[in-house]
Amino acid sequence: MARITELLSLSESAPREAREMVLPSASLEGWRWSGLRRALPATPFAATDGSTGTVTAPKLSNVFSSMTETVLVDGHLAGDNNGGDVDGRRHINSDSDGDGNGRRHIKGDNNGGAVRRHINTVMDNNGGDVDGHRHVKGDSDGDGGGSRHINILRDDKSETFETVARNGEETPFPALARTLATHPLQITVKGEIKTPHSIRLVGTSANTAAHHSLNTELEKNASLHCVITSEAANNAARLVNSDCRFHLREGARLRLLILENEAAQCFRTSRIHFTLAANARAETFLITRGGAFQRLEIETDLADNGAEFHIGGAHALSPERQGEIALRVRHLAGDTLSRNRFRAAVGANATHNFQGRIEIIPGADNAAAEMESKSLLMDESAKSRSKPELEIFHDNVACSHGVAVSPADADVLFYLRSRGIPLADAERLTVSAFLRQIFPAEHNDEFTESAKSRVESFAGMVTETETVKGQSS
Amino acid sequence: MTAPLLRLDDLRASVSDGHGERKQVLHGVNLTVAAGEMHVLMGPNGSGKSSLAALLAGREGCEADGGAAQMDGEDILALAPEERAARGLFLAFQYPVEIAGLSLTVFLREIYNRRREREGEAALDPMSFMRVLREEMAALSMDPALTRRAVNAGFSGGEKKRLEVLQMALLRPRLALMDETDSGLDVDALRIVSDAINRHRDGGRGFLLITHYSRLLAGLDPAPDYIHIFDGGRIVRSGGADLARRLEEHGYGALSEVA
Ligand SMILES: Nc1ncnc2c1ncn2[C@@H]1O[C@H](COP(=O)(O)OP(=O)(O)OP(=O)(O)O)[C@@H](O)[C@H]1O
Ligand SMILES: [Mg+2]
Repeated sequence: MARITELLSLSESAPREAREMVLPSASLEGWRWSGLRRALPATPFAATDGSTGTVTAPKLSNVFSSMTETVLVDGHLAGDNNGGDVDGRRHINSDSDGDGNGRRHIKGDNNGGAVRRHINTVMDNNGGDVDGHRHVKGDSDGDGGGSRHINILRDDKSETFETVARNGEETPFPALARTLATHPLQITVKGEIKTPHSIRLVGTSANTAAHHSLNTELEKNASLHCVITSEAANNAARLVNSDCRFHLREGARLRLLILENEAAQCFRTSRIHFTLAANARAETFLITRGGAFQRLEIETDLADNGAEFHIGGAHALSPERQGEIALRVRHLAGDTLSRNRFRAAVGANATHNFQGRIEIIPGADNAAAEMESKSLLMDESAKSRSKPELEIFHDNVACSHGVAVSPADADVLFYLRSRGIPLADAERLTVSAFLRQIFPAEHNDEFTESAKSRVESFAGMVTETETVKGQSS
Repeated sequence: MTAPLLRLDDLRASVSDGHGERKQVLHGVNLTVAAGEMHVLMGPNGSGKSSLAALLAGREGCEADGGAAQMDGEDILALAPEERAARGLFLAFQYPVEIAGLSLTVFLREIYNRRREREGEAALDPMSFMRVLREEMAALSMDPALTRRAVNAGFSGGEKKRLEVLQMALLRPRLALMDETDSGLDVDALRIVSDAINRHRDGGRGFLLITHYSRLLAGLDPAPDYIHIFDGGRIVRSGGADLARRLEEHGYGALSEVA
């Protein structure tokens, strides 16, 4: 009870406190965040009522030939996914088996009055009938939102919020996301879901803040392909803040693709937390363009034997942009494996930070971890800082890490140009070749290919100067 | 009177050593290559042959300090490397570059289709291009499995050189500068490469081959039109095909004095 009160009061005071907080400088020292306070505009971002948004020409849609979609516009659960305007009819179409009759449980929220709704999606694979296992629950009465939302936090067994906050290591943003999310999403996955599920976070309104909270549970041996895209429909300044959790129970499989195509003026804060039980396996590709300020915190707990975590992260930072990754992988049991591979291509006056920490606790026999962060500077004014940290408290482990920062290879550019490829295209090819190193060589399935094609489309932007409009003064 | 394919007049150039110092590497090169002709440059290590090729292809850091270089009467030194390529200049590198992560097939299709579009032809779709590529690779006895790799990634010395010739075949340049394409090739590969060069010769194209050995020249048919001995950053002697043989017998020492 005390905790609920605490959180409720946090939801009221947190935005103000976040603003007033004395934050550390851009220094990478300590396990802390950097630079945001400096970067934040003087005018605060306000939440929207969800009535203004229109999804036009979504850039990142249709990632897969077939997929189910959940769309949030400016933090509000939106209607259909085909560019229509956002009206009162909201639904999640969770066609989990691809059999065509999967349009089910369209339970709208027509009153639009509630500030918070708890969207609960259960996916399973046992046929097409609409039963109790498969539903999207909108909060249609508008009065229960607050308490349901709190339930998400209270139900969370990992207690990450408390633990991390107590250590003084978590930024206020994940807590804000959970507290202020207009439509927190809860997804439970049973069995094998073949059709990828897409969650699109679209921003349309200038000077607004959108908070997102996603809690995904994969039950024992469940499997899910998931794409989370975060994109701007225009180039306006806004704050997009999200907290995503993935809890994989024994033997569960997750393939996750995170694509971020935010505007140059965007402030993007994001925390992704993975908890993996025995023999669970998560494979993630993260492809992002950064923003005016972007910080991605990735925290992974390999909680039991045989858990495996693979992540490939690519930053394609256009001129003037900023992008930052804070990674922490904890090997809490033996025979756990993590491969963490990051690449950043950094344009003129852009800044990239990488802070990665691998922890292997005593007794985690045969744990294996690899961490790599390489940056390609496409201009003399581009900056990249990488800081790997290893905390290994056990002998019988295999652990490697490497960081490298280098300018674009003049010999490579000359070679390409001598074949008739103009400089801009030669740079694009160079960037794309570099960023594609995040993909394991043997992978060429649809999931990986669609991720690769995003790398291609972002690669050309690293050396392109952006025209910035809709800037807040 | 039409301008020659390539014309170099008293060309002087220097390279930067990367520490702010410049070193003069070309000391007045005079050379005219007419369409249809093949010229061969031979000269001691460090005499500036590759520097000349780099200057003509437009490598950054290698700059003309005087003189002129013209292709079809146009000053090419003012052009970007890609613009020179668009005018039909091609350099087969002495040390081809490895490009990790860039698929060889994607790269070759890109340069091939760009060439087609420049020449007013439609770009080929990936399937049609694969057919062209397989044919050209077979002509060079190249392992088709190489197409699955990144550009020059893990290629053997000989595979890299063949890839340069493959690119020449795909780009069909009007002026090919080939910098020691024969070095590091086994005897079979040598014949494959000289055959490829022979196929490529016609009245409209010109060649400037850089080599240390007369072996490659023996396989060329028709024989090269001119052999030039290059030393100290310029051409010190020119002659016919027999000059290469005399060079192998007597060495550069005896032949390098300006005639
Ligand atoms: N970037 C550079 N920095 C410093 N010196 C250079 C640079 N490039 C070339 N040189 C020097 O210029 C001279 C000519 O080099 P170049 O590569 O043109 O010789 P080459 O005739 O091609 O020799 P080889 O037969 O060995 O290939 C050499 O002394 C070389 O060391
Ligand atoms: Mg040389």
